[in-house]
Amino acid sequence: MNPHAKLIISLSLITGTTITISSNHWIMAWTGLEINTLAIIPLISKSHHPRAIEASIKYFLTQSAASALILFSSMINAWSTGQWDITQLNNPVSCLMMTMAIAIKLGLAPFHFWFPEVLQGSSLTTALLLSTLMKLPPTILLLLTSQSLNPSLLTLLAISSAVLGGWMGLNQTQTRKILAFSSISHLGWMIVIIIYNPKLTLLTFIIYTTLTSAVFLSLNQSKILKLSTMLISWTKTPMLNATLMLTLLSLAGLPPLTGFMPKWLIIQELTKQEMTPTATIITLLSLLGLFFYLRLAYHSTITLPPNTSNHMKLWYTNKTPNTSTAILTTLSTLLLPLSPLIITMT
Amino acid sequence: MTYFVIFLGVSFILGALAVASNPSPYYGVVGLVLASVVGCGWLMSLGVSFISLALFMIYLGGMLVVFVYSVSLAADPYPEAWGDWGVMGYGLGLVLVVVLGVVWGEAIDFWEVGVVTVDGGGVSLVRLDFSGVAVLYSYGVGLFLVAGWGLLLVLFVVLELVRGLSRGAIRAV
Amino acid sequence: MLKIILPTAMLLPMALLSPPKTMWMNTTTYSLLIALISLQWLTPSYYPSKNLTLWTGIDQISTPLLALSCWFLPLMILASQGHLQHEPHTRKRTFISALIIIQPFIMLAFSATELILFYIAFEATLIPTLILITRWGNQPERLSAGIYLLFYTLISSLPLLIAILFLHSKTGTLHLPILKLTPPNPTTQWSNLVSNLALLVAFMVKAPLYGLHLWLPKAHVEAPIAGSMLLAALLLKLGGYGIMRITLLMGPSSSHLCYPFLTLALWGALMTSSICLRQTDLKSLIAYSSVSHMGLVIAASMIQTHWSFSGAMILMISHGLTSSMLFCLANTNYERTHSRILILTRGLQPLLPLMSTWWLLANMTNMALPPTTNLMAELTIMVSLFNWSFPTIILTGTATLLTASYTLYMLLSTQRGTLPTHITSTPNSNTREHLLMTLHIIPLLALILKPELISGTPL
Repeated sequence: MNPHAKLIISLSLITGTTITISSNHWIMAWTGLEINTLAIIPLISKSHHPRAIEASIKYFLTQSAASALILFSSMINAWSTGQWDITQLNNPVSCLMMTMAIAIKLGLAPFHFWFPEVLQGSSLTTALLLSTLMKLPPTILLLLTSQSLNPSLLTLLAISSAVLGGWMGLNQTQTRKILAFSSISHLGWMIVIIIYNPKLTLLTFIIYTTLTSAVFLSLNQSKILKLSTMLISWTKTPMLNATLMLTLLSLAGLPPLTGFMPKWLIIQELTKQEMTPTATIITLLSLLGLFFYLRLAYHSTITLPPNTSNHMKLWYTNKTPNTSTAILTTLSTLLLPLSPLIITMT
Repeated sequence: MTYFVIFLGVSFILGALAVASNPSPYYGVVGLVLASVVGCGWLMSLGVSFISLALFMIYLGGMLVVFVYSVSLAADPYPEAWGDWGVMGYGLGLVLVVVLGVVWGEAIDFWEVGVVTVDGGGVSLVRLDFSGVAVLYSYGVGLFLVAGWGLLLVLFVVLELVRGLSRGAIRAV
Repeated sequence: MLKIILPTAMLLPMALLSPPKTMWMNTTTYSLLIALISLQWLTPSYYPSKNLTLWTGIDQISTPLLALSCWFLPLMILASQGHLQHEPHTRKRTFISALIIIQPFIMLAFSATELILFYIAFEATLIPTLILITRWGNQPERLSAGIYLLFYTLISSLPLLIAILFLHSKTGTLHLPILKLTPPNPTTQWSNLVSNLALLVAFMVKAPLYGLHLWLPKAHVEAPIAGSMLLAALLLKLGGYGIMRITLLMGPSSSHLCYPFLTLALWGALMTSSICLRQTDLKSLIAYSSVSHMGLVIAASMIQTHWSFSGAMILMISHGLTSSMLFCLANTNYERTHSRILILTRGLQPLLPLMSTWWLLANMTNMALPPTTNLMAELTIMVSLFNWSFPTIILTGTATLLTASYTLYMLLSTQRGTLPTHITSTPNSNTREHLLMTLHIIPLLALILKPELISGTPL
């Protein structure tokens, strides 16, 4: 891609996100969302592969439909209450529509169909952007409107996301699709707590971003797109594969890794709010996800044969190891003892 | 002011009917222009001048392009106008729908379950929005800049997608 | 506490930075030194908890288990030397690091006085164990064994986490000494039952209770020797320890809850002993014998009397040493014949005569012959169960009989009889292996001289 175009596009990505998360007015939030959507499209279709074009078109259509719904519901709210303040979403109809629209934008469970396919069509770095940076503005909008949202609807969305994200990831062999379903089930965890403790949603988002960035960057180091590539990638980067296994288990939320922290805090908050059955359901559903993380972990390192590989050698250009991968991996495995500090920070 | 707004509304519905009764595109565009002009005015009277301007620009510009395109593709030797029987049939059916809608809406108002808005008190006063473009450039300048950036971005994205002869993203498919 | 935990954590840089030549020696010596220092925990005290800090503290039931876990680290390192000798050097380092990483977590789990810290440490042992089994196991089935291990444990322990947090929201504290003082929470009968069940089941799976035990034989069969030793000697004891801690917290309302667990445990002791009689796989036989012994521990800790608790404690310690020794012996056979099948490895006495002495000693402790703590433990448990209900003597008595018979079966089939024809030459047993067996059997024989070290009843 042309570096100038790349500059403009990345600048617009940052601008769009900043406009949305810092705005107070629905129109500005909508504008930011649209700028974001437009800016990511050349990045998705960067590879000029038919699947990439398909992915970018799918992304554009769903996102613009969702943005139109957001605009529509904020207009209805403004029509009935006379103001455009994001935090004052008082009209129940527009509240419902807003939840749906943001669910489409985030890829929450009944509206999740676009997400794995778009991720599958784009490159690993773009997929990272799509599952982290592009989910920040809708999450923030949901955070800002959280006090007027419908609790049972959100719990339903959350649980169905956890079910579908866990279930549909089970029979995937493409790493990007697996990570897409993992993103969906993590979103379920974020949404289930959003009414009771919005700060925890933000914390979960931050931790999830750290973990998934570490995974995506580690996969990007040796261009692992399929499980079969992953199986023979340890010859290229043995150490990275070993840490990738820990990062994946952290994504699965096993203690004593970082990924346990948001789960622990969310369960604690839910039991405090007398929602122990919901907590039990969503916790047991996370085991579905654990199954495919475990399979990824097996493929990354555990099945190393004790002898040298007899597979055909893959192309390997000696890339310099990425410092940010190292930092993110360290953060995503060792952060649990620091959780009191992190909780007070968010 | 109230009569003016009601006049705009009725004209909008008539314009929409003129398009919807399915005449030939040559005639349909007249209804389209009428509807967009009076719809723009109607929206402005409800206090959403920016939206009304955007609507005017987009609909008029976009629809005229569509009109030109469809006319050039399907040039009829004998265009149907509103006097023809087929168009009359469509028009009368749609008028019936409108009348039914109005009656039903009145019934809802009668049982007082209609939506109550901030402008529900009436539109008897002349609004600030009629003061025009000056407000857009003074109060709405931030939004205006952001919107400008967004439109520029659209240009860039489209250029990026169609750039290159056979290697362009769209043409590569 | 910290003066043991910090040196244990420092074992990790020791393993990673030692020169290749002295790596085994350094780590073994260092961990033996830690085990030596840890013995001072066994000094008797009149206080309910020794070494009490904000989050950790040790009392009568955690002290023997802590000393046991410190004792086992050098033994595991010693035992793994054999099967790792052909591996490249970095993999040896990684293996030792995996062993060492588990150790602080086990010690934290045994000494934690805060339930959440206990939970995290309890779960944290899972990932290194998984790595040990699935990375250093031998057969391809090790992957499914890893999945069984992880899923059995997590399905039962995630409700435990929820129940712990529920307890926290009801009582406002998770500190064990304070929890003992707080009155039972005035919730409904139903939620009380469910939360008690959730608190118990995680440890029942870990212990394991008959019916929830299917992961254990798989894991044992597939694990390398250090993994088997770790599972048999320490991780199962985490389950028993957890049951003893949690039943102390439960009010008398749990008296109905103990019936299904007691039934399953005693019936399971009988059933798994019978399964042992028709096992063909040596490691699987030892694994099922662990399930049978842990069934007695579970039964004893469910009836919550002083006698039964001290019986359970003694049985846990002596079973840890015995079964670990049996696994080591099975591994010495496996390293020579590369088979775990009893038919293929029979009649080894003429080839490895000194080793068959160790087999005899280990099997005698396993079937609880008089001068061992195993006998003391089984008697105590049987007596306290008999006192609780007369008919249990049928189950426990039969289980003891079956234990003796399958142990004899194991001894006779591995040591006596004619040598199978395919064994033409075996390497001699070496000093490392004899040292390993000695280090297992000495504590077993010495503990009978002062059993109150390990028979601690919680105050």
